[in-house]
Amino acid sequence: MSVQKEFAHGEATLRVTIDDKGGERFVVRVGDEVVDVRARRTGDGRIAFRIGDVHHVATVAPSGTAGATHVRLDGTTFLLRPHEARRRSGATGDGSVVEAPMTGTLLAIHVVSGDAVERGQVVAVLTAMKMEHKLLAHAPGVVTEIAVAVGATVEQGTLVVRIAPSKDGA
Amino acid sequence: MSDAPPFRRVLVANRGEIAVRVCRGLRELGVGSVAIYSEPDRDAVHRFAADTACAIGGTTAAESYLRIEAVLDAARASGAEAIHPGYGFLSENPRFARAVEEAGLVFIGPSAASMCKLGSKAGARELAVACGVPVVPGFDGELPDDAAWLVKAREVGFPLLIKSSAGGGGKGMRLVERESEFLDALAAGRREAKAAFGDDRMLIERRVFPARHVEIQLFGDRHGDVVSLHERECSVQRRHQKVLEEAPSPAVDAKLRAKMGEAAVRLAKAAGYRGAGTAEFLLDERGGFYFLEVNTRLQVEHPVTECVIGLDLVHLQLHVAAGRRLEDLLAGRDLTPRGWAIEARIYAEAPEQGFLPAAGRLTRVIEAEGPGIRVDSGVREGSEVSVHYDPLLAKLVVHAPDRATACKRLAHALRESVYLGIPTNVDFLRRVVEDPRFARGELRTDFLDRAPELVTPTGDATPSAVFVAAALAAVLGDGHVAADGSNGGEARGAASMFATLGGFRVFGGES
Repeated sequence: MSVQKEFAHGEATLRVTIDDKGGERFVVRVGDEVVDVRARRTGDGRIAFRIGDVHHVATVAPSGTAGATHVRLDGTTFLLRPHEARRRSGATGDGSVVEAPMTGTLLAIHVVSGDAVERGQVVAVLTAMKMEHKLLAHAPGVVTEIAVAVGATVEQGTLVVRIAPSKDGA
Repeated sequence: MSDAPPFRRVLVANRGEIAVRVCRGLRELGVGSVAIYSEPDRDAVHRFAADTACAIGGTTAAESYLRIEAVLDAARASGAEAIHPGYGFLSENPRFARAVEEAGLVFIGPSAASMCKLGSKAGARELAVACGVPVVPGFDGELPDDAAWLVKAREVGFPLLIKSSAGGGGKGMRLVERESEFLDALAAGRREAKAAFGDDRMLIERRVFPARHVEIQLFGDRHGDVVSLHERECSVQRRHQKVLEEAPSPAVDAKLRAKMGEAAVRLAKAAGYRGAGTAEFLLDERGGFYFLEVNTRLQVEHPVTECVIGLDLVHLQLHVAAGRRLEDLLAGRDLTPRGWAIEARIYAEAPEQGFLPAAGRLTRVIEAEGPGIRVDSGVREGSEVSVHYDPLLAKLVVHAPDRATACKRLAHALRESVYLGIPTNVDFLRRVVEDPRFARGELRTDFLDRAPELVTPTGDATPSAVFVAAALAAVLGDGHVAADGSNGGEARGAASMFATLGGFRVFGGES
């Protein structure tokens, strides 16, 4: 049996393929790298495996709703995102949107459409778990849209404020 | 201690790990337990930790665990004789303590009167001054307007701290470096305090710096006796919220321990205090200590005291509430701290994103175990962590013969701890505990400000073994053993792994 998956890896896509050779032996291709692995479930929800002489213990579980995977390897947790999720992500990278970093209630909006904002300026305040979180403009520009009203409950990733980045701003 | 149960049935007016922990204590003493739960907590662990449970409705804290009438109704309906408030929520609310007593029930904690004296930071401060306990310069009281607050702030001096008069846990607290930031910070603090405690009275005090946060565990009975169960150090904090706590403190010797203990006992006796309480102090580099406040309840970090003193503080709370004398309860006990205990608070939060709280489902949980390891947990695999409550998942506590061994034990236990599905601070805690500065006991309240690399480590590339592990999980199944001994892997597991590990494409047969 062979299983394949593509992960977002920095800006690139990483293709991972695994072949079950039987007898607790597997061949895994990670990008261009091919590794022989001996592996088994430990019975308490972990996977014990060996690559060459190096022994690892891992736990793997789904994370969030976007198809991401948590891998806890030797006491450190990594988040793997499926390749398609990275492309889907609303962040355009030019600082033109301010999104809710977590689910919460919008407490205040400090700007109106047409306002000029500076990088790092507080444009809105979100409250969740009794703590306040300031939402900052990622780049200088002019506010073009307020997408959410004060008092509304927003999901993580919801667009709150849209900003048209200024061309000469830095 | 006595064999007779102190009460027949007790309602636990809380949720999460502390409700579970209190229910355990009740069971051990042969006392019936009653849990309460809100709408989002229908499937919460604490609901099932008690003998019986009452739905109190509501979603937010204000609609559920903070509703005094709903809690009292549940107590009456379930036939509880007493109410244990845990920490947070109604635990430090004198109106609640009074309402419980007026309903003919026992409040497991101090009287409303001594809570009023100590619970407000202003009252506690005045009492401390009267008892000759040193305090930090500051102001706590009523002022007509913001202009008057600004005048007071100038008198106290910058940098200063704005805090909620009513509550703890850093909620509403602001550090103000400059006068120009003061009024904005005051307004924001008030909003946060109002949301958390329903009370927006604030106080200001000068920042004692650098300092350690050292607190004294107090216990009083109904007969006027108060004892010190010694110190805990809680200097490693983020946003004024404790992260790691230990007992004893690396900075406190027997002489200082006795001095701080005496000061705290003097204060508690003056307030007619009974039950568990904690006097918090700042300890400066010359061994000078300044009283901050009294928390009139069991603390989150009480397990480290239990480890080194060898007492169960929930049992002690119940016995004292039932009228037993400390003199009898502690007769023949050596209360000298033994060994070293450290607690790590496991939160659903993302340290590298400014400790942003996280919510969602815990898809895989394996809690640490082994000699000298205690986990007070409020979650299990499949638990849904709600945005509506404090994101504390569990407390990992280790006890060892000495501090160096305790640090190693905790680091290892954190490595073995698995809480997946949502961001947690587990790796961050491990980085702190493995840091040489922590190992040397160089603790200050600004420990994390001075060690930003522990909060946001420089991004190492993801090792290829991580991708290997993800691939193996897809082939080996989800790890849960079925009745026939299989683990759901191989071809049979293909459908379920497709669902749980989203997006893996399966090519049938041998390749």
